[in-house]
Amino acid sequence: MSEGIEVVSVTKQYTVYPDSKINALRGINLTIEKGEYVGLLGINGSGKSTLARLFNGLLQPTKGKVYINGIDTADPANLQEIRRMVGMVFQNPDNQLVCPVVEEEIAFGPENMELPLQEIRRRVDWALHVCDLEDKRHHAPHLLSGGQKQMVALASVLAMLPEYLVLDEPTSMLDPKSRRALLEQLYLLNKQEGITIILISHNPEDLLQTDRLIVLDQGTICLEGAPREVFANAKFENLGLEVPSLYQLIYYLEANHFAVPEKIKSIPDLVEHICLQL
Amino acid sequence: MTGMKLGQYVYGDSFIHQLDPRTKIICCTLAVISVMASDSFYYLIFLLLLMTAAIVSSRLNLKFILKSIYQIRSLLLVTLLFQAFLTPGQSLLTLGSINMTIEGLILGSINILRLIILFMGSLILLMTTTPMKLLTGIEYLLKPLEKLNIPVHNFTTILGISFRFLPTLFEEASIIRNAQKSRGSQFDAPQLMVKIKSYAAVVIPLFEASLCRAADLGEAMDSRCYTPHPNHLRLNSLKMKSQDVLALLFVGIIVLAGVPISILTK
Amino acid sequence: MSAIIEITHLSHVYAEGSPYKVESLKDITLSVEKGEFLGLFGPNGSGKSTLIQHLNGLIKPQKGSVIVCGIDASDTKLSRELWKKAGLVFQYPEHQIFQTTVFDEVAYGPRNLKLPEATVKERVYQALEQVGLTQENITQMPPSTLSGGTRRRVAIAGMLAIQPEILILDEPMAGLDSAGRNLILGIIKKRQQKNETTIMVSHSLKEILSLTDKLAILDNGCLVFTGIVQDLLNRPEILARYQLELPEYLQIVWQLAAQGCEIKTDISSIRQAGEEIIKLLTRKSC
Repeated sequence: MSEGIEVVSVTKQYTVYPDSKINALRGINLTIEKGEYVGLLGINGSGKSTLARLFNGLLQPTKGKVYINGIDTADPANLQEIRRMVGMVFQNPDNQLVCPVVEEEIAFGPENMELPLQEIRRRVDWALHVCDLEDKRHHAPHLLSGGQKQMVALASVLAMLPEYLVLDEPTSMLDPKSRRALLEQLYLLNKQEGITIILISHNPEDLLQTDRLIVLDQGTICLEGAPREVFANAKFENLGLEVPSLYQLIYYLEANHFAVPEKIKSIPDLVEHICLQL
Repeated sequence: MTGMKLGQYVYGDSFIHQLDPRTKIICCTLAVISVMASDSFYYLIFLLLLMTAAIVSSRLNLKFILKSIYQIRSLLLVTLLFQAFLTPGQSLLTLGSINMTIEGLILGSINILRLIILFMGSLILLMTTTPMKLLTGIEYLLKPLEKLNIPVHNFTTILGISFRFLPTLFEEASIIRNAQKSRGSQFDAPQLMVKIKSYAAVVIPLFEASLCRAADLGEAMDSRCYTPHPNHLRLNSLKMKSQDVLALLFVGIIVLAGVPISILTK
Repeated sequence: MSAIIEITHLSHVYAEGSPYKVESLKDITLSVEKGEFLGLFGPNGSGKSTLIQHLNGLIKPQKGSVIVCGIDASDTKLSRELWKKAGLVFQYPEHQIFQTTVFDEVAYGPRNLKLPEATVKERVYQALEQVGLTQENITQMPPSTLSGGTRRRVAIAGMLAIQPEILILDEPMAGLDSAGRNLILGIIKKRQQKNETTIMVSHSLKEILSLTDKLAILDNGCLVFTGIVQDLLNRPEILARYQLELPEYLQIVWQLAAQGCEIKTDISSIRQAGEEIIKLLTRKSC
């Protein structure tokens, strides 16, 4: 397969001091098409973060293979190229920013790629614009709020022009307003710039806008499919996850013979739909 | 001016503030060489007056700097006394088997002068240059060392990360301190052991957080293909102007003139 | 009913006389009765942290007065004892863990109270039970080997072991997954059942709504609302400002009402919301 991410029979084993082995991932088979917006869901300890780090070669599978656009992540010679293609944003906003000035942070990736100065400037301007950070260009990161720092982290990854964006629980340390802003930004990046997004979270409410949900449980894929199907599945709540209230309402309405189309994925959508029926 | 830390950047737009950081670093280095090479009391006084003039022209708080010099008075006194008692020569005062000599006093005063000039010079550099500009200046000047396989860019990356996190560390320390105070830690207890334990309750969590942070930062840097490289964007922001050339010429002349002056006025 | 906390005309300014001056609290008057559960809500920078740090003596009142358990916080000597009465648990409390065993960590507070070691031991086990950490050997485990949620419970136990009359929690559920949140929720509810005074800070109304009777909302240093939850639901202008933090089912119902639909808005569960919407659709009136 020349485009997309392929995970083939992957197992990842860790050794925990002193000598016990833990299988963080077992027999994972997964395909992600280019342009998809995929959500990876599971409780803490289900293996989500491990899987995330396999996508950009930070971790290597114990068994099995991971291919990005057909390129094997196991070959060290490929790592730089893979990390350019697969950008990663982490959970803690503070612990991702290394530069004393926002502008330089965003230039960090392109500088590492040894691009010419003009190209670096162009990408920095673009990333600042896309993430609405132009007025923070010369700020020091420690003066920014958690949400703004996370935006800077996102912008610094975008400046490398990745085809795939993997985000490991990017909202868990943010306040509700920043969380919404980040999720909106991701949605736009997927729909307008065509970037494939893999959003990892333990909170199903973050994943309402995804095209497809993958639910991990103890290192294996337990459920997979469109959010509407996955949330409705009886197994879902047994995994320690809560069905989002929006969907609980939708299921209640459907159970009372009031149809709600598949495309309804947000509160404004539902409100509009209800009003149209009146 | 309360709570201002020693060596902290003070905003201003004086001549010295506007100089390129490379100019300032070079001038400081030249000043160090000049000070260490000269034995002449008069030349050193001249340099001291120049430093004072620099402070005044940059509109820095002279009183604050004098207060800071006063704070290192014990170091200065020790230097003077050591030199005074350990230099052979014409005895002025005898304490048991050791002699305080005139030569010793003169040498001691020269050393004190040297220390004060260097201290003032460093303060002027730090107080008129933002940490970022300083870092960029250092990176630029050390760049040629890359050819000798010295990892300059690793060094500047480390310095950059330190600048980036220093305020964060202070804030975290403050929060942890408050959290421990809320559990009864006493940071101003008279008993030493209680005080030590209280400070341990801040230092240990900070250390742990820093280790976690280092691991996370490593991942974030690897994910963005980190390799040591010159920071083009940053380096390109430096521009030498005519003022810099003038400043360099001025300092250069004084340093060069210092050689004959020192010999003549020994 | 006696007020265990009385805040009168409290104001606070950070960095007075410098270009970084910030008025973090503006003329706050608020009281909390013994046994009450107060939810303190407000966006980032609204002054919540500053306010709660006045309650345990960390910050001395600059203007106005703060009286906690009868102790005047302005009194330098007496305010040093306030930490024993009002226990403040900061955000991400697991970051303050520094001892090598769970026992020593939880015992830190009681030991600072200069209690005899036997009492300390009793309190540690009591506190660990309150947070649901009753496994064999938990006391001897190094905290660094525990999961994030467990470490947080250890940190909260550390405060509970001090047995303060008032417990103040700053966003106790931040960063936890739903299992972790439910555990903390359980601890808070148990406290509520025992009528122990608790203040919980949050910036999600969703979190607080299910817990508290009384609510106070801070915005930009000003107290914009105090009262019971029902009162808040009758203040559309305040709701409109903070609406987005409401539980989703309430948001949907309120948005429908805003469109002019005749729908009951004082509901308290998803099921009720569902019922009301079905009723609306059956009536087909808008």
